[in-house]
Amino acid sequence: MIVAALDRVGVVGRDRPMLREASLSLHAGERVALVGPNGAGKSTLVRVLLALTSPAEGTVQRAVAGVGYVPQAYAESLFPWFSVLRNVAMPRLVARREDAYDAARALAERILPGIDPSRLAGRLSGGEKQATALARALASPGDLVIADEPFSAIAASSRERLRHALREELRGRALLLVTHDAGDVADLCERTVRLVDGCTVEAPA
Amino acid sequence: MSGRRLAPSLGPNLLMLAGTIGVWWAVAQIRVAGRPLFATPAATMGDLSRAAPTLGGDLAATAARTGLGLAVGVAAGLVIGALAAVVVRRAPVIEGLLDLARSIPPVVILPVCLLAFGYNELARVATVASGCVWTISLAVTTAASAPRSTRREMLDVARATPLQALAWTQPWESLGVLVVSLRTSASTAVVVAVVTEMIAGSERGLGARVIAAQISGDTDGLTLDVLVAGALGYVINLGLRGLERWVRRLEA
Repeated sequence: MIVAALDRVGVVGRDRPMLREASLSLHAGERVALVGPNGAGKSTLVRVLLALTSPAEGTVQRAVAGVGYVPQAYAESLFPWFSVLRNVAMPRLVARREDAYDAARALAERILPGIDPSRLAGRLSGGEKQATALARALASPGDLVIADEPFSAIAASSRERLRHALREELRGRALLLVTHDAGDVADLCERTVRLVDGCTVEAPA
Repeated sequence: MSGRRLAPSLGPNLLMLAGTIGVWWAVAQIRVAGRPLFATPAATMGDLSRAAPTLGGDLAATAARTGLGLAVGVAAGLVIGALAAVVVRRAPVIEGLLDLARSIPPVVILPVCLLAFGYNELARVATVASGCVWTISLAVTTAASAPRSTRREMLDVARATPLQALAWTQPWESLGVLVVSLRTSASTAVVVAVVTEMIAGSERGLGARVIAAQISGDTDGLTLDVLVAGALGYVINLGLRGLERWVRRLEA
């Protein structure tokens, strides 16, 4: 079963095409790495999948609901005036799930050890903010998690633990991981898609 | 503050204070048409004991008018600003009209309020409120018309309803702009409240004291009243600056 897909999608930026005939299918439970050089269009592709950017051409099959998302601008994506717990609970609170805080508390214990859940998100360090954004994505009730460089601000000493946590907490959900790190790809993904000049190329297994 | 931190700042601060009093004393020696511009520091402090029994009540009256007018102005400004933000998206001309309204000096609203409400307490509070309302409403319109934030996109991804998205972001994202405009409005409120008391026949308030002192040629009392009016504005500003610092820390 396909949870989200793009077919021959094109996006035009201000002065050049960002995506050209990019295609990608994400199947249920599949873990896919999206790699490519800076400016290749990885984040644009993610934004098209999330319906945050409209494509000029092609078709998009958007995920049903409750997609977990770690944006590249993770710090700006948090709600600094709310607690870490409320931030993590956001996707389930918005979906009016009764288990929002219980699920968020359980995730915070596993993914954010050492961070007081009642602390304001605005007071966290860069790495703590990124880990909180990851916990929030994993708290989403949908069947797809999209993470755009989710470990870029995480210290090397914590990276392995968070990779492990991400693998564990996916619980059968599909993952689209945008990364430059070969370790992330090897550890977390079973398929790799490369973006070159806005075109998707399926990398050999 | 520790003794070590206090020591280096105490000397220059005391020196500055003594210098200010010296300049004040020197200015008080200037005579214009045979009369001093200001009372000396000693005469002003001497007048404080004479004025003390009524000064507190007048200060409280001005502070109450300022606070009430500010509260009414902020409440009205929030509503007008939010409505304008909705309309601005459809008719950008509204933004220009708001700018025009903001350029109207609050004090010139006074005759309009006097005509509308008469020489009473309602007119005075309405004048103070009208002095604050445009600053706040413009700030709200600007904040509400800001580009979509990453946080708003997160809520879109989570399929939040427009009302949920508004509640999770708008009041908080507008907070910084609102606090700054609140400080501006508070300064305006103090000025308008005192001027209103001066010219709208008020029996109580710092403005009424200023006019009474001017009519009776009481330079000592006039100097004291001017300083107390300044102190009122300073204290309000100090409190709001603390609020602004707290909001900035929250946003960092």
